[in-house]
Amino acid sequence: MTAVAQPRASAWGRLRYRLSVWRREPTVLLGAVLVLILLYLVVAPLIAVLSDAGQVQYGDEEKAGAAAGSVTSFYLWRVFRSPVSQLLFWEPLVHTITVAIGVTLVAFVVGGSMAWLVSRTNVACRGFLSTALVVPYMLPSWTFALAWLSLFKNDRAGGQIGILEAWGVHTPDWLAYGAVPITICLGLHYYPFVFLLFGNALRRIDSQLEDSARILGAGRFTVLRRVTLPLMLPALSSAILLVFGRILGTFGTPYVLGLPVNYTLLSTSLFSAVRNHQQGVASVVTGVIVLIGVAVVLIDTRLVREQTRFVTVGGKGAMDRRSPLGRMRWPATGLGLGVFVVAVVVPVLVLALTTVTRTPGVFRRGNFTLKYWIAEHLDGAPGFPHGVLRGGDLYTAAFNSLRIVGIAALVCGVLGLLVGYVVVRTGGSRLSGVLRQVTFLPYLVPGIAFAAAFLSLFAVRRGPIPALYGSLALLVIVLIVTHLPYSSRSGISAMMQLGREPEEAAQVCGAGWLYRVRRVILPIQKGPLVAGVLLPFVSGLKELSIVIMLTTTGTQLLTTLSINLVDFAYSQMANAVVLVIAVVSFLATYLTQRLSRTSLASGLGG
Amino acid sequence: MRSIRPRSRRSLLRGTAVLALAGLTVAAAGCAPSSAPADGTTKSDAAITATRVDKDFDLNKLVAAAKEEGSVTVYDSTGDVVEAAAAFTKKYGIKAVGVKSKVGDTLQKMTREAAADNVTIDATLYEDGPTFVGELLPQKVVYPWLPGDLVDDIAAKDRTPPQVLQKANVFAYNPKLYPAGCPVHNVWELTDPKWRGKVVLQDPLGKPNIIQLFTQLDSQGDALGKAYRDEYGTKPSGSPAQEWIKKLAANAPILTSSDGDSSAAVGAPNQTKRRIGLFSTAKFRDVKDKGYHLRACEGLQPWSGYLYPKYVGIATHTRHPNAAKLFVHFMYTEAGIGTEMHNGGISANRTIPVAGGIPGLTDWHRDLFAFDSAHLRSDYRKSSDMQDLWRLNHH
Repeated sequence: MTAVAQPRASAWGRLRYRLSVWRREPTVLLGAVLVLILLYLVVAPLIAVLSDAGQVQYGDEEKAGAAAGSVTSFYLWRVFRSPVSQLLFWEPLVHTITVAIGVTLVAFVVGGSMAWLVSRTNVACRGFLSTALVVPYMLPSWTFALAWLSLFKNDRAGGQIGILEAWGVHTPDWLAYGAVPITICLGLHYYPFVFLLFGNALRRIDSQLEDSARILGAGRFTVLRRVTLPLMLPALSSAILLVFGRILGTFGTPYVLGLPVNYTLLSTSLFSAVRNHQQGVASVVTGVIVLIGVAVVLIDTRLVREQTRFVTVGGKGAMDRRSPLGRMRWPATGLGLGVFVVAVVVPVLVLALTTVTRTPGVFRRGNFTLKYWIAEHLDGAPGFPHGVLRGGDLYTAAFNSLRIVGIAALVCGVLGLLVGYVVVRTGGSRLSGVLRQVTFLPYLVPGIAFAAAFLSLFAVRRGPIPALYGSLALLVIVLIVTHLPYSSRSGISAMMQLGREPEEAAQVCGAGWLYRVRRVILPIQKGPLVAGVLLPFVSGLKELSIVIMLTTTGTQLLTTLSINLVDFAYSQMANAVVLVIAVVSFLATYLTQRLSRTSLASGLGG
Repeated sequence: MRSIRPRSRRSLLRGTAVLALAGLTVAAAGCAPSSAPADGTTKSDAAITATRVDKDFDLNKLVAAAKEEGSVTVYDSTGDVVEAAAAFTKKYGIKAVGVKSKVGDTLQKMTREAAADNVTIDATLYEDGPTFVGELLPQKVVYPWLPGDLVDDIAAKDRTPPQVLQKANVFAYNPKLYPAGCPVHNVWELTDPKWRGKVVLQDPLGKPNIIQLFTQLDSQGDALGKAYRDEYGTKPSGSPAQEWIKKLAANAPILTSSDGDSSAAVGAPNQTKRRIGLFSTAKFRDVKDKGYHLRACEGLQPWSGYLYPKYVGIATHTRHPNAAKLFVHFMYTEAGIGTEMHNGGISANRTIPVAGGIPGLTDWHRDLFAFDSAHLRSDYRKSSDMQDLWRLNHH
């Protein structure tokens, strides 16, 4: 490097040096590219959504007293200060926070304890439980609401009468509707997040760390409190974020379970604003939801700011050992199976029963039928005159779903790990912070609010980006963006546990960056990568609000097929399709794990 | 090699600031369009909302031109459109795709497509009159068109904006639980303590159609006022419609998220609760298919339900203008609109007979409250106030 001495060549030399460093260590470059792309795909639509809050919307000129498009505080006034603000915003805000905290607790207690049982103890049926306990997440969340209502519904709600009510047991309103069932149903739906991420991290903790503590005289509880739990902090905060953030925007379950007692959440308030074309109000409510989410993210960032503390895969040897449960083994197994029964068997059974009964809830001989599955001809449903398994519709839709969501999920997984890599390796830098936050942002924006923005952003050609509306590529891109939070969280928490040593060892031997990624990082991170693909996949398969807005004619997915069947008043067949969705996600998950030759338990990591 | 340093709060703040700044820059650069079309366009311009009728209409020419275009895509809020499209294809040999989509989604999609000049939806059968007249027409997303050869069969009041079909939502009861007939004779009874917690309807805040009923009642509430005098012997203190809506909302009605839930709450085979429900006549197919016990409230004063119209518009920038016109023409003939009348309906084409067959509902014109298209603009303006009225009184 003699050139460095001469000022003229020094700029060129420095650049060449930089380039060669980038080639070896392209983290920063990679990060910069990722940030640019994501700013466009995430921040632009978000601004589009939020800007409606300050502009008079078409049709509101009279009320706002200004021309459409001009700046106004009308919507802010309406949501925060007007006579309806109490019903539109303040009450739902309190409800939302109550429910979100409740659900997070349920998910944490159920998911955390199950993860510990499956990853760190010798509980029986481990293999089975590790797969079975993830299934609740493969069912659309309203399945739980459906099951809950079938059991506990009383005369405050419409629909068929509840099973308990039919037996003469009167269920009180607080048990049938409102905060309690919403919390339980969403908790059961979202605990797999905690289960997956937490279990993943638990399995990677070197038990020697715990042994050392014990050798130094710490009791079991002290070890848990002072060693294990602190090491789990990144995974824990990731999981809590995922659960908390998702609840803020979920409207299906809260709407159905809250409606009979007028229990509204911000998400249901948003839903009715969107339904009634009140974009201004919808935008303000979206803004608040995003703000709450951002506040949670900031807390999370504070919690995990000292990253080096969490490296659990170092260059040193590691041991993974399961503690024997002793006499508690079978009761613990019973507990695990109990969770499985409550969270999977009951809802699936209720759902399955609805598909084979003419009148749901009536268990008489003549009421059972398989026609909704296999009949060659059905009357009364002109658009779908045969059982779901007949005709090509179901298979085409399943194929479309698998193809579109599958591609998106694969890209998501890889991207998530790369994001994790950049965030951790550039730790503490601006780039790391921005990337971390931008990849998580879509998660905080409710899908119904995002859908229209994506449509308007991509329906037109913008600079080098052609009008993507109507193409499958658009659907894939949007699915990637909206599901990246899952895989980036899993990627970040996994990479945080991976020290630099393994990679440095490879570097010393002369391995380039791509080679290192391929031969060192990916093999070590195979478990998290699988999780980073599966979470978006499973969630994408159930995605509806965005899909409905962006598909054009001819692309039927499983979810849109199910919604169409609801319209034909064949709730039996609609539910049958939902079961198919669950089966498809389960099979895909199972096969992926088989093919990647990770045992079922190591879908959780390692 | 840089060592990992602990993340400081300052860098976090800086990160956030950079993010915010980047966001602002993007916004300033105008890359972020408002999610609503900012274009104010013209207001209630009669020239825009006036229905176009081709004077020298020639069906054969239209068919030939449509065949040239090859295909047509139509959005509708009912799944019956799939059958309508199939019938169209069968008749004319032109590929037609019927897509079922919620009115709100159709509105969003068509508006964006028009703004982007990337139109895939050629025409729509559209059930939400207020946004049809309040947004789709004045923003020139669609234009109103009627076939010249059939225009005389369509009543003048149904031409602006062009109406294609009226369907009905009715108050219904369970004849197994009330063998003697409908337990109420006046809609005001539904607001009495006796019926507290026993009236079933879809959540008005989730169903624009019911809000439109409220605004229409507000504009033409004379019959409701007369029914009030019949029931209570006095005059209502304010607007009869608003009074009825307030009292109905305060009477703890059972709200559902779908008509299916409403009809099951009234007439499912194992239902034992005595209720009155308001839902679509389409649900009466469950009487045959699933053994439901349903009957429309015969003789309910001043009406036993309401008719809601479906309008038709052709995308202004469609790439298949003639195929779209031909489809609209088709939907004004029995072969076309018949596909959507299985569960009752009144075609705007007066030569097509009313499809009845709903038990308890004998004369659709006499027994049902009909929306007046002349009030659509005021429906559009009043809808959010009407939602607030419901919201504030609902307990």
